[in-house]
Amino acid sequence: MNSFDRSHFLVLVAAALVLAGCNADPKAISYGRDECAECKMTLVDRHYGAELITSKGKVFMFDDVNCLLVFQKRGQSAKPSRAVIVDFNRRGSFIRADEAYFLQHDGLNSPMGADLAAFSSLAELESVRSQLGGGGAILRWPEVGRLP
Amino acid sequence: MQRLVSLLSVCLLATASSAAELHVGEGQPHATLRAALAAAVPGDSIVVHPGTYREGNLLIDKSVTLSGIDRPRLDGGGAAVDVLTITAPQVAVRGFDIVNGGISSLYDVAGIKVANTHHVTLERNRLFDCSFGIYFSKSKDGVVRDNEIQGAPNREESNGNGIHAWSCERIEVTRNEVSGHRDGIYLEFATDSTIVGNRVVDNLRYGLHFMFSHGNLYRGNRFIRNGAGVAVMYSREVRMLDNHFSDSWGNASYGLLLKDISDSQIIGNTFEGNSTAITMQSSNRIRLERNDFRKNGWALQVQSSCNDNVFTGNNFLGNSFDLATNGQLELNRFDHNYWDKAETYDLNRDGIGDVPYRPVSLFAMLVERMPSSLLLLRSPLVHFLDHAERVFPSLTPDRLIDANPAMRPHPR
Repeated sequence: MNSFDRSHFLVLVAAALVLAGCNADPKAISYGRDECAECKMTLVDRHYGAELITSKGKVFMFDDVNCLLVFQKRGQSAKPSRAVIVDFNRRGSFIRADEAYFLQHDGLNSPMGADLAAFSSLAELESVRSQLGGGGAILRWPEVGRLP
Repeated sequence: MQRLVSLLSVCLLATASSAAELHVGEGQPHATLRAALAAAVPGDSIVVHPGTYREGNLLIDKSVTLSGIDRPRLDGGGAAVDVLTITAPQVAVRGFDIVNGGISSLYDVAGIKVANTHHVTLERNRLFDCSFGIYFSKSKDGVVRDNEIQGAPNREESNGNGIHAWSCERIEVTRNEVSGHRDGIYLEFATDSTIVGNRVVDNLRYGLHFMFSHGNLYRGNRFIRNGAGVAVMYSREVRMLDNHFSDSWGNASYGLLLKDISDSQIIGNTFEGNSTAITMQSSNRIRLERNDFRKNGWALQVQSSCNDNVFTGNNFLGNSFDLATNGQLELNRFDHNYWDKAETYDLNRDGIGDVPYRPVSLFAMLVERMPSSLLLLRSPLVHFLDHAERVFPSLTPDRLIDANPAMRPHPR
């Protein structure tokens, strides 16, 4: 390896390390094993789940949206952080909270009784809503945050 | 007078006709259960002869009694509908095998669903491979007795709960066997219910799970090898008596998990071989008396958010740690417990140690802050530090003592 290659290599390694340090991707939830950071319940229902990811890349998992909100309100996550929510229709994949469409409906039984499901599009939400016989309420993230 | 007599005779006729028995099975008046249910009038009793019945979803909307001879089999065929749906009051279902319930991603599908009714009794049934086993929704005065409920073994977390009660009052759950489900027994918004003498084994999450459920009693149950034995959350006035919690072992595994619980009793229970016997958060005014803690990793993990709890008359035997906490626990009281780690003496021979015992060891504090230091458990240095700390407490909560440690285990 000549010196040019070596310096390139070092730059690459450094870049990789820096990027790894900034890595703020959601962490895959291991259902049946992972524990909610707020209520301590084991996550089991693949339709539901949420994560708070701090700017430093620390990930807090929640079994339901209201646990995430309570955790935030209690000031447990001081660092600026972003929230992602499990896509109701695509188990194991996440939607950014501020891009998600939320359906609040009695027919949904989320683990902590928020009964909120997150969808990546309004069309998908409407399809589940009609399967549930209509009704319920459609919310966006700021409104979800204001729920009691 | 005549009118009264005629009224009486009408009443008598009514009772006489209500005793009708409808027989279902091969060579019987009714070939299918559906036909018998259609023909029945309230008060009838439907007797089902041996055989396998594949009739999709069966709706019981009349007050009838279903009894099986030699366990007839109701096969759901894996369709995403409940096998039996009961919407009428005064219904009893006894002696059936209910198998092959389906799964729906949207609805809770159950072996037997009881919805918006009251006084339904389910006895001596066996439910195999149903997503949810027995499911009570918005109902009152239900009885679930002597059933055996086994979830499909390879479905793991897509299984629902064995016995599920949502928005119910006065549900009695007695002597059932529940295994292989998400939660063995689950109560949400269920009040004044009793869970007695059940055996709940190998469920993925919790053996018994209370959410927002007040005024309930569970007594004399055995919870073995569940993710956690029992989780009591956001509830008050729960009585937990004479239960056995064992072998909930692993990360995030507890014998008993208490979260936001108040005014409750935990009396006469045995906790054996759990990673943590009891973990408590934001729980207040709980009486913990006469419990035995044997061979657990941690007997008690009590978060600083817990107040006014009284721990008395308990035996702590062979646990790695008796108590861990992240606070001072000033407002909680420990008194007259037996601690096998207490090295005390009894000069006046009154059975009470003359030296107070400090249940939080220095090492327990350390592990609470730095879990990886658990590696040093059993190291001689840790042992030495713990001893030094007990003599001159500096880091452990100084007012957290049992002033009257028993010299001998409390007899049971």
